[in-house]
Amino acid sequence: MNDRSRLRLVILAAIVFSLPITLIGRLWYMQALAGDKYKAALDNSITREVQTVAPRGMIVDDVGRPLARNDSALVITALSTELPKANIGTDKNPQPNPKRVDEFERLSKIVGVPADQLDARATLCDYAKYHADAPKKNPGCWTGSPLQPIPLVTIDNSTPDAAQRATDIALQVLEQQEEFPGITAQVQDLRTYPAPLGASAAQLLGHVGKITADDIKNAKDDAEQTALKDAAGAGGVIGQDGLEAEYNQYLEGTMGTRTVRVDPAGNPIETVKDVAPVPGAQLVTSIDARVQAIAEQALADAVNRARTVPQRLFGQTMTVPADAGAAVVVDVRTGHVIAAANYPTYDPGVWDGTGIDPKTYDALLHAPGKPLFSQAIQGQYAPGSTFKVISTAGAVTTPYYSLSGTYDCPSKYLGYQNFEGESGWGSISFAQALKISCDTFFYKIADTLWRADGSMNPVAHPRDALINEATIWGLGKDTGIDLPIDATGSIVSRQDKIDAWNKNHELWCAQASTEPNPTFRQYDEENCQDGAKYRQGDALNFAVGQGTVTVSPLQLALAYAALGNGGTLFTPRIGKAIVAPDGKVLKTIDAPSRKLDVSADVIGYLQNALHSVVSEPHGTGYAAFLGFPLDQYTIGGKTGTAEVQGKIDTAWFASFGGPKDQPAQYAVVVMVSQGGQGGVTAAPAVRQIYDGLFGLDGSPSSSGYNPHDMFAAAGPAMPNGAPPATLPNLMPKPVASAAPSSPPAAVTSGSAVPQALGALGVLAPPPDRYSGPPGRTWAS
Amino acid sequence: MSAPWNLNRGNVQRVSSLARPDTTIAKRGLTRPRTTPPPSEGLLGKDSKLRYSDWVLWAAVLSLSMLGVLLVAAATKPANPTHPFHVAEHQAVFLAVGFVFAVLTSLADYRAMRSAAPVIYVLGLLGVLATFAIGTDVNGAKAWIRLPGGIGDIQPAEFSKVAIIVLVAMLFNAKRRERLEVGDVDVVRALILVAIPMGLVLLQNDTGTMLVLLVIMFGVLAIGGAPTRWLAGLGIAMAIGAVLVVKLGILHGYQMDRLTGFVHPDTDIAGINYNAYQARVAIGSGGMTGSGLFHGPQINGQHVYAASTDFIFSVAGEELGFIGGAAIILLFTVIMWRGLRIALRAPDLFGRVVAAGVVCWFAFETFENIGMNLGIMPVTGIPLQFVSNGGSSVFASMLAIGLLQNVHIQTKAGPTSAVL
Repeated sequence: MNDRSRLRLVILAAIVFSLPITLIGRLWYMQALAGDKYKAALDNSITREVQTVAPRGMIVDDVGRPLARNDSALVITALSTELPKANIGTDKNPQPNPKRVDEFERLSKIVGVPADQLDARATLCDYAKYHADAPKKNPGCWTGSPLQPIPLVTIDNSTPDAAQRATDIALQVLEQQEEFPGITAQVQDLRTYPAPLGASAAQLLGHVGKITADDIKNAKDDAEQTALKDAAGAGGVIGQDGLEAEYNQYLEGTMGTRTVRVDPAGNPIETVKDVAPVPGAQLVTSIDARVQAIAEQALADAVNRARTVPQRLFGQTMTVPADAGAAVVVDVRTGHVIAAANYPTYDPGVWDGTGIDPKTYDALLHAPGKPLFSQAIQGQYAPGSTFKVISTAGAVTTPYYSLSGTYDCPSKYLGYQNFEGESGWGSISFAQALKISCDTFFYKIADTLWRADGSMNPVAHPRDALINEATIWGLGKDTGIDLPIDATGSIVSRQDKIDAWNKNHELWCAQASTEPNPTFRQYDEENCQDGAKYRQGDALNFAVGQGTVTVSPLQLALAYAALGNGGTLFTPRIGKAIVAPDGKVLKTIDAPSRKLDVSADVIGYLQNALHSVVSEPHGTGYAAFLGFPLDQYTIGGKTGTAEVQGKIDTAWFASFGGPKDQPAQYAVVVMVSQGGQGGVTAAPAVRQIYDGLFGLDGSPSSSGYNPHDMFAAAGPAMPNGAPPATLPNLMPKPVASAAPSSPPAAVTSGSAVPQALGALGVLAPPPDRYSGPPGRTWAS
Repeated sequence: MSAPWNLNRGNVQRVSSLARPDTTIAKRGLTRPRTTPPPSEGLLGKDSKLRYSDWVLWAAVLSLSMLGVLLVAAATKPANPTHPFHVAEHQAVFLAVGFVFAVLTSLADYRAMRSAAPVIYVLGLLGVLATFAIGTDVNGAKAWIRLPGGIGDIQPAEFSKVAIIVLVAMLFNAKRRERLEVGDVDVVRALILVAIPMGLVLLQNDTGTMLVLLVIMFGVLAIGGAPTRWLAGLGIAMAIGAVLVVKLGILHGYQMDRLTGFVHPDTDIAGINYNAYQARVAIGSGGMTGSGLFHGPQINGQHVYAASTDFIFSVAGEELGFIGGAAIILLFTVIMWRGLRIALRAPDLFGRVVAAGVVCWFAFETFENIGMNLGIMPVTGIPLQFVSNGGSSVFASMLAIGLLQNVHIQTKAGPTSAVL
């Protein structure tokens, strides 16, 4: 043996055997010791998260009628990566894949859409090849993510027959999954606003829409921003306007996350984890669809009446334009809004899950009376004589006036006239003045108080009793309602005048020499000279709710609610409770309130005074409430006929009422812009609403007005005369709502079919629990 | 060294080497080693030479081959939904054909094979030369010849490995047969002959093969009995050369990238280190038992490129886990062990050098390939023998196994040469 060779062989053996030992050591380290690190890296490198949108919670009225709900539509969807490939053969010589062709032929027979159309819809747009032109190159191609199910056909299920057909189609697709690889039937949510009993409430509900870049930008924190981005990517919606926006965080639920394994090109291979979305909670509102419908009807009737029945105005008998209006019903004991009607209004059903047809929107935007605008919440109008209760309460806080005193009601005061026919009544009480709505009575009070404060050269600490009183009653600032919209109205104080003058006097003075219109030029001259001062005219106008004073119908309703309930002013709420999908109450929503700084004596006096407005002859509301069973129900109200520069007067009637010998339960306010006299146009509408609330038949009054109460036959809108004290028993949300989000892959497995079919049960139109009168046409 | 089947045999001449009937004669150098044995009764017949082959070695090679087919299937299935096992079927055919080559090589006449070494060498050289004329470029190395009819590509350089081994073995063996020590002239002659294919491979940009050839050269020179000073000198020259190559920027961009990537394995995992990283992730996430064959998420997601060829070990790592990965390493260790054993017991220096050369070759390729999968070696285009998809490697490796078996059969069944 050659020793050198042998020795070297031994050395070689040593080297050679050291190599596998090294490798095994390294392998052990990687797989046994550092395995977790690599497993984590694996999850990062090969999975993507697909977000699934949670079913949005319903918005229901106080007894559970859905105001906004999710209709389930049956959608046949395809997952592009699970479909047979479009082409077989080589790249240069592609051949259509017969498997795919056959599959779409089969589907075509079931759904009745041409197979080539279905195929085109299921094809991903080839952005890699055509870039931005891809959708044009392959018409109908899917522009979204390959991870998202592609909707191929939406099957109508709006009628029982159609729903039956939809269910049949779904069954065929789901039961023969081997025939339809990559295709499944899903129930998808579509936000709808069913307008129960024809109650629109469109301005309150708002709507949902696609998540915009602004929504994402305005997110309150990073977590919300991320969630919004994910939701936007998954085709989610966000509440826009109204309750949908205000309570979006409860309604939207929590998105589900499907983790899918992908190849390096990002194509999904399989689902590794599926976290189901958590359906959104439901919002129970204090809105009562029936009262809302009644209020909308009463308002529409009032508008039509004003337009068609001549009334005395400006010394003549005329009809009026009545271009807009609002009716508000508030529960005076809880501060919840029961109805907030708008005129004109529109069908909230024009909004659906994704938005609104642009043409419809354009029409609504330019329609007369601005139906998209909420007159009830945002409309700001001079309150006119409805304001006199505040003037009364303010006057009696001064040493110059008391509730027991009597004061002059001349036919004229300083050139300001009473309304036509309201001649002098001599010396009368506050109650009498409110009943007949004597303007000069309040002018004189205002003048007296203004002088006491020092006239044009005010004392050091002017009392400003009326302005302060208005502020006490919540006027001049936001109501704080749970809506994205609100209005302050206008209560102009001395300081406000100074601020405005500092800001504007240069403009006023300049215009004083250039303004062609003599009336306006005079205003400018006056404003230029002493616009910063609180003038006699300011004070006199203020006392009768004119001039710079404006309020929203909701503000006035809240003030009258405070009057009706003995002095509690509420920050109003429409939301009543948040109820989890399983029916559990997550949160009850109470309206915050504060006690008015008004003595009980004054409140009681005002209540009685306002009762006389409707119950006694000469009361401005007497005619409208003729025939109303005031022996069973106590109503207190005040008319308002507010002058508007260059327009017909705004008609108001503000009231509170309830069953006799009980504390008042409702505050009802009706406002009709350019409606003329409050007692003629607005008061009958308020009465019509009370008729509905209490289930009265609305028997004819002496005015010849025969209110048509569409619901009188069905009994009172509010049984026992009161809004429901308990929450409606909402059914736990059906499992079906979660079905659309489950991955198609899961539907293909055997056990999932019954579950999916259970989901399809909701395809049938929802049973109408509230067989009210048939829907009515929309006045707009 | 008697095998059971050598007992009760009629033919005394073929009794095992323990009997050594002609040892003395051989030692005296009076006769050349006798060719063995008499005509066989078919490949698996009672008297077949195959019966003297190393069954442990066969078993290891066949196990690796079958494991390889499964892993190739797992690696190529995701990209071929219509014909998931198309590539694996090809590979099975390659392995079967290669195995037949191995068997035929093992049965070849030992002396004839020895004298055929120059022919093998020249053929190997011509093959490599042919790539310059009709070669195709794959991954930066113009080292493949595309076979007609879509059978595949062939890499002639694979065969130059065999060629170098048998040529140097023959040269040194001839020297020893003349009772002379291998001297400077022999080493120089061998170096020149080895340098030619090595240079050609280098011109093809086939770094991996070049490295293998270097290792084989060093191995066969060492075992062939080259003077120690030559080995030391070569070792130092290779080290200096390596430093110079890196420093002087002779390396191509991608080669430099691979080296840089190796030194900083956790950087640029989306770029240079993408594949090395993905392979490590695949292996690391396999754990003890793996995710199961055909169930590797990383492999099914096609995140590892060349998973069926150079990175096939990552498939084993992910889908078969430590058990599978270690099994592959152990099977290669068995081949190494049998190879060294054959080298140690070889009947002459030719057999020893051939066996040792093959062991060096296999050991280096295995270590480099698995090492780069595990992130302890830089990435080079070297396949994992018997396991990686690809005909050339299979054929060349099977040929090498055939050579080992031939030496083994010669040891067991033939008269032992005294010239070692």
